[in-house]
Amino acid sequence: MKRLSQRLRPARAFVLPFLILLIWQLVQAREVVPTNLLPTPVSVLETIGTLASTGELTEHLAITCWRVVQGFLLGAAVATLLGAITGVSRSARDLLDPLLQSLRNIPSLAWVPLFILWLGIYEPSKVALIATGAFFPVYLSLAQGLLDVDRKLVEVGRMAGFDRFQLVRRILIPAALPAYVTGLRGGLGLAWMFVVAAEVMGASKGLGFLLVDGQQTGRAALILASILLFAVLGKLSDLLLCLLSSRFLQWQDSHSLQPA
Amino acid sequence: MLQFESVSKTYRNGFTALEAISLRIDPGERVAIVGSSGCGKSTLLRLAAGLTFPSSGRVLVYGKPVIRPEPRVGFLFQEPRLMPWLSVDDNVAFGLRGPARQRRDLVRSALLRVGLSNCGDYYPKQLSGGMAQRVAIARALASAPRLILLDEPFSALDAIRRAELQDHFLQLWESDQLSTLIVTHDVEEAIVLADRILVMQPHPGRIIEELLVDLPLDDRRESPAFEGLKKRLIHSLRQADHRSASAIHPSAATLSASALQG
Repeated sequence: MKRLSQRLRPARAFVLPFLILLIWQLVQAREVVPTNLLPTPVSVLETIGTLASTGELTEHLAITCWRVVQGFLLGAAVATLLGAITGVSRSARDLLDPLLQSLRNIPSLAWVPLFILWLGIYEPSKVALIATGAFFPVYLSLAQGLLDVDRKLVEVGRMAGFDRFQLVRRILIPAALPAYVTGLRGGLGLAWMFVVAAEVMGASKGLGFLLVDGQQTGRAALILASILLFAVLGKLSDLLLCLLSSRFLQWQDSHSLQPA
Repeated sequence: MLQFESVSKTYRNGFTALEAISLRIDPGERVAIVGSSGCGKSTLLRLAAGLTFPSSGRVLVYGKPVIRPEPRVGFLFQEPRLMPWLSVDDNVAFGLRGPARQRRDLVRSALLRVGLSNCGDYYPKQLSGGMAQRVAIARALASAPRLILLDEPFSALDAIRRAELQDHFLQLWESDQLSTLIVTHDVEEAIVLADRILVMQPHPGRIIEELLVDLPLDDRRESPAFEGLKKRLIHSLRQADHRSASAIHPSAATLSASALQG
């Protein structure tokens, strides 16, 4: 049986946020800073509550999540394909990698005008921007993960008479999986950042729209509510990704998996 | 079985690892190569395995030049080199072909032979160093090789484990009549495991001496001739090092020679 302290471990994550909120609430209850600039946590929660009661919140959440899902899946899929090719084939790497590495250095917001020009102001340009953001971490980690696979393990496959395809499928891909998952997590994180950029640029719905709306109508509580929701959604999606991938990574002999 | 015809290996950076190596291993024969580190003995093994290729000369397995790793040649590496994401069973089955049932039987009998038949579901991270190396032996044996190449296979283990696995390997050899080429810097290991010992000298790697081990297979460590052979081997290894050192730094060699006499 697990000890009680062991079971309560996940609860530790809430200690610090709760303390911060508590102090914030106590201080702002006395209006140290004008509340129209820094509302109390309670009024931020109330704002979320109001949005939820009108059904507006679900709509905003749904559209933002849907954009992230589409953009992330598209970006990660293309990155997986290209990362796998450049990680495995030297000639593909020589051809593709320098180009992709230089594209990576372009500030992401520089793409916005071009995507709007090409794809219009509606969904496709937003999804394209998010996909661009999600692409690079996934591509980099997968390609590098494949390049970093231990030569010693590859030699075992060569002695077993594996051809290139078998080497890739049975050694390179499983061995690069931890790096790939790290890349996916990074890509998902960037997808959340880029959805904000895309929605702030021009949207009539979504959490990013709430940010702009809050600014234009001078409602700081709405902005903070939106930020809070981004934080929660980002964390939840990362947690989901970790849960989905942990099944495939249990073989890792990690220091963090050691029982204390 | 395995033949080297004046094989040389020079790497792209100009380093000559091996020079004019000729040797021959007959079916069922066990040969050890001893030499200090850096004498090219691992390169020699990799050439035999088809993991790298000679700059000049020929490497033949079953009379045919080696152009890729041969299916009937097994390699036991210095480290276990198990796939950490596979269970022990799947690691032993790694690279086996044929129907699933047949593979399962091969895995079972290979694990039985190394005494790990209860560990099939374990993962490499749950194994001790000795167990992991036994799994590696099982993997090398499961494909029923005719020639097995061993690269300091027991050097990472403590003395007791090492002796145990050496004895174990001898039993396997007796039942399979495997042709064996073992590379080691451990002279005792060479005497225990081989019928013929080749001494190598570095810079560039050459074979300078050949010794026959004319002892019965059982308990060689206890045999009265063991110590004598060991002394002789150590002596020729020292000479080899001394000669190669004088080839590079004549003064250093004089120094080490006087140190040896003193």
